[in-house]
Amino acid sequence: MPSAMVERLMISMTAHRGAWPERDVIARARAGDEDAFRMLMDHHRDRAVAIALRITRSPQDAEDVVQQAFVRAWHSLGQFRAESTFGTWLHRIVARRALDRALQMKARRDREEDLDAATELPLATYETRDVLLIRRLEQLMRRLTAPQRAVVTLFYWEDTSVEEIAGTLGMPENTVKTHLSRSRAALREAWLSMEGPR
Amino acid sequence: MTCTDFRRWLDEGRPQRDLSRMQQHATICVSCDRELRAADDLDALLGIVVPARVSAGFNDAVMLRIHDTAWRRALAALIQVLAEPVVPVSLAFAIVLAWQCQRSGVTIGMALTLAPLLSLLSWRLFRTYERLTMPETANLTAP
Repeated sequence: MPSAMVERLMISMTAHRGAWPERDVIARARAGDEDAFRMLMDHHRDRAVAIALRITRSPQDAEDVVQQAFVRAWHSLGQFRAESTFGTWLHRIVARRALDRALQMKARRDREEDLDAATELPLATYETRDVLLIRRLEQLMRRLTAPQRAVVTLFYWEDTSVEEIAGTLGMPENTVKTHLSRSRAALREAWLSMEGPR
Repeated sequence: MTCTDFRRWLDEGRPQRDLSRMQQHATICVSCDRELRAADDLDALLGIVVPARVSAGFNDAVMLRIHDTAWRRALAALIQVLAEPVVPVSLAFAIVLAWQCQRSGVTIGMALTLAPLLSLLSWRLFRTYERLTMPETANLTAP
């Protein structure tokens, strides 16, 4: 069981979600209705950018990656089979592209911005304690490599299986398992060191 | 059962098969209990998505890209047709035919000038086609 502080934050975050007629909107967008596609963007862009931001750690690159993913989604809407939700489908495109971008960014490290302060996250609506927790996690994410961040993001945010992550990111399943295992160890160690000795 | 086994179990995502044994260990080991509580907090926090803020005009920028790529795709398709080897070959053949029919010095000169120009044009069109299509197809392995 997570601590009471983390549990309260989880409840406040899940309360923001709501249902909407996505199938109709997708059908209209597929028929070429740009307004419907704009509605899809309104609904999915914030989470998609959050995923890209967590992987790339660069706000500009994250937004660019998500824009590219939406362009790809528009052109590929005809192939969307609704076996998963549009969000899941889009987020996998985003994750793959964000990882590609993050790996390209290795050569130009200076563009990787420090998100310690989580300045790009709209945290104004949250209580100070929650903001501290979120910032603390973002600090921890710095310790992971780009592939590890991509795997962790898909696993924990998207409830994606190891097999699906492997398919999405083009990695062997054992590599995904190794990334997950090492990420958990690194994050836990960092979390405990932040808490200080007992 | 050692603390190393316990940490490995946490790293592996807490497989069910060892659950009771590991929980029992955590009750008697202060250090592992602390690790377990940290893992609980991290698992919960990692599942929380804080939606990011996008810049104003995000949707317009995407629609602009969509229209831009539509234009590029249409142009790329046209260039692909023009860059097919059969197009310059057919043109060269037509020029030779015209030359055979007329046998004038002007037509010979035109044929000799146009043949390499058409080859060059064909090659340049092919390169343009590549430039137009490569950025869009580079990462199409995503689902």
